[in-house]
Amino acid sequence: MSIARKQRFNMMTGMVFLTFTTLMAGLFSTLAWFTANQKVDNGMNNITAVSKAITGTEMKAYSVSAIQGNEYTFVNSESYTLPRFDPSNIDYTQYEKALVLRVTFNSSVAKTYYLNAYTEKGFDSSFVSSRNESWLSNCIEFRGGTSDEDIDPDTFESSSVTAIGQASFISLKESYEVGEDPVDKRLSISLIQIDAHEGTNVVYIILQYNNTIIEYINGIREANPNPITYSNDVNFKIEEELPHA
Amino acid sequence: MHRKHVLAILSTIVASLMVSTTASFAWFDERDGFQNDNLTASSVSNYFADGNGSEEHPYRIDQPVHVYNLAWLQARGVFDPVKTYFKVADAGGNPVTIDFAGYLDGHTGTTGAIPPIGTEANPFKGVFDGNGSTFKNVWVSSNPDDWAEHPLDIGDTNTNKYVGFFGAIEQEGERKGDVKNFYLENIEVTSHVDKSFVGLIAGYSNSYTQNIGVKNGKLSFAYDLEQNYRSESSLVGKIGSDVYWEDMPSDSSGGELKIDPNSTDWPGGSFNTVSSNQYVAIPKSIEGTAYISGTMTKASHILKEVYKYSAKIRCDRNQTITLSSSNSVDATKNRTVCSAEFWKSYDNFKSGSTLIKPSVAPNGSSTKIVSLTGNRFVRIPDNCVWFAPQASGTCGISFAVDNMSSSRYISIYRYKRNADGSIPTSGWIETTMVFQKGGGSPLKNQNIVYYEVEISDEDVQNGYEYCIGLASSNANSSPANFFFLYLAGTNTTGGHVPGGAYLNKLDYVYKIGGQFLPSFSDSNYKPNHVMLYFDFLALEAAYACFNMDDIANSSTVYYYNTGLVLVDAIQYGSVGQNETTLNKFPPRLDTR
Repeated sequence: MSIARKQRFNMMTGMVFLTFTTLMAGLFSTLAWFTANQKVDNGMNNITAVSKAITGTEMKAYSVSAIQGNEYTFVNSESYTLPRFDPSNIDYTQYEKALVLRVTFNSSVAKTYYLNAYTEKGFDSSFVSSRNESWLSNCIEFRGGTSDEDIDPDTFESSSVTAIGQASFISLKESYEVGEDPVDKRLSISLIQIDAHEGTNVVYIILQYNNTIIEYINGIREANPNPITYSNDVNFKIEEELPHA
Repeated sequence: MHRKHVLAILSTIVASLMVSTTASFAWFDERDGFQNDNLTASSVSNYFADGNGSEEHPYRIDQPVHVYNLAWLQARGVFDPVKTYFKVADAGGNPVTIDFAGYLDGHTGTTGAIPPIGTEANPFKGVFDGNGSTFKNVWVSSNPDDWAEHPLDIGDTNTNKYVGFFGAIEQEGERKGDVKNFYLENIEVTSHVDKSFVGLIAGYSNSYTQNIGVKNGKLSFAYDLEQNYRSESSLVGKIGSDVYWEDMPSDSSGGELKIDPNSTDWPGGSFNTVSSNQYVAIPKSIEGTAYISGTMTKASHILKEVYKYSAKIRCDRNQTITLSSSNSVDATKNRTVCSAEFWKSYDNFKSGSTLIKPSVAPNGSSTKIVSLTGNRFVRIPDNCVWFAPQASGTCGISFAVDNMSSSRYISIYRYKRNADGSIPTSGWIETTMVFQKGGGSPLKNQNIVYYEVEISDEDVQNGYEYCIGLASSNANSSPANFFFLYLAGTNTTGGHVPGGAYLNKLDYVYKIGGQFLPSFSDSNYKPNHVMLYFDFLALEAAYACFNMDDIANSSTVYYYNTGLVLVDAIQYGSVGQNETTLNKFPPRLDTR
């Protein structure tokens, strides 16, 4: 190899190395940015903490074994399927038609956050009436949950939360014009205000069917005996502000 | 390094960073839009294959889960107050076989039970048209432990006291339950409720129930407690007071309580005079429950107008009921006020009818011993038409006045047997019917008067017995004649409400070449019905099987029972044959 060729070879090798290291650096810097924003897919759903003060965000869903008034008893059985809604509650099912979502995160400061939920899917009655698939945001409501119990998520058998408030992406309009869809849908809602302390925080949300909407949906699907399946379209974010409309 | 080279390196770094950052953002954007499918929900808009429950579009049933849904929805009263229609069929409207084997098992691997369709609190009042379909390998139970699959909240359904494939069938106004046109093949009905009424087709029916065949049925009873179970037949546990069983098999010894002097079933072709030292069993009646005893004379007359006494009578006090124009209607102008059975006899024999004329008033002092099978006997009063109702209901009782030269009288007596089985000599309750000559009475010679006499559940439980005979206070007057009695709500023929609901063609069937026989539509159809009338305590595992083995051209109904400690005897039709082993019984339930 001539000197000139050797120099060119060295330069090319250096450029390849530089390119590789630059790519790696870029990638790591992006991952670092992502980690700081705590976008976590824990097997259930994306939950994003949009605050640099938050780390270690985690969300798990548990089956509900009993509902007595506002008290929801959940058991150490992770589940990501709401038992089928049947208006008369006759289906064979082990658990109630609700899930308790347990969200944990670390905050480096004491601060007020909001757990907000987002969807990009609208609601179209004519579409829902004719199809056997729809979106989760079209059929559910959320309730905040409070609990005095400090559970170990790996070993607890059952625990309970007391539900407060109610939030839903959808509602029926009190009045509407002929030809207008009677369903109102918002694409973002706030589920609960979190007065976080420094350190590990635990937040509960209850996810259950919005009976009014389900009965409306079943009503417009009277001629269609097939069950309708609702796929997940909901993203959760822990934010420092209420969601923008 | 040359400037050129420096620029090349820098541009490479910038380009690499651009590529890297763009790629990372692209990856991130993809995740941001990522929708995890794990979290799902679903809802049901219809518990059946299709339909909306209307007469035009009945709910269609073609899967075991649809039957499960019907049972639970009915238990929760979902269908009230609308009359709801169901049809068992495939999408093309054809009959289907709904095989429960392997279904509703709650992941246990063993077929679970469903609760009865219709409960005491929420009886079935809709129309269930089986469309000739078959329900196979069905297990119905009132015991929650047997429901491998059930709603999270089962309420108080386990206290259902009517247990059968249908628990309770009822009518209310225009909502007359109508359950019809299907077969049950390999069915077990389990009760664990004390004092429950148990039947393979229905625990209780007080509305239309028809064209239902059963092959290989089993009744089973809990034995953990000493409990009492009852059934007025093996197919229907209790027959309501507003229905009658239209086609009871003629050869059943557990026959209907119909007392018809003109019936050709009497020895000699119709009723004949019974002398003072004689008694005669009323044809087709359950042994020991209906006789004519002592001096009762045969009379013959033509029959003319029929008057119906307007009010329903209860024989619970001494009373005199005098017929007048104001408390009666001319039934010959409005035949619906009397039972079809009555008119059948009237129309056939009005030109020359046999009547029964009493001549001595009955009382507890003159009795007769009637021999029964098995070295048993029953003592009955002399000089009357005597009957002991086995179930509550409304009797249609009619009397003929042959000659109105003077007022006529006849009485219905009621008494309760003494604890030692003897008949009391005092304390009889007498209801005297007065057929007045003149004085506002519409009656003329050869008229008939029709009364509805109510016998309540309480009357039956108290064991009241009844006599029809000469009135005690008018012993020397000319009596009216007994013409016809048809007891509603007995264990064999319920109360016939004119134009009302009925039970018909409920039978055990065979299966030959894949076809159920006999065919209900065959004009030669003859019921093979077995009367398993029982009232027993379960002191151990108790069950009764009814085998409809595939025996060609056989009309025999084999049955086998064990563990039934009877309070009262099993009665069964002559087509029934008691087996001492289970050899003739196929597996009662395929539990795949």
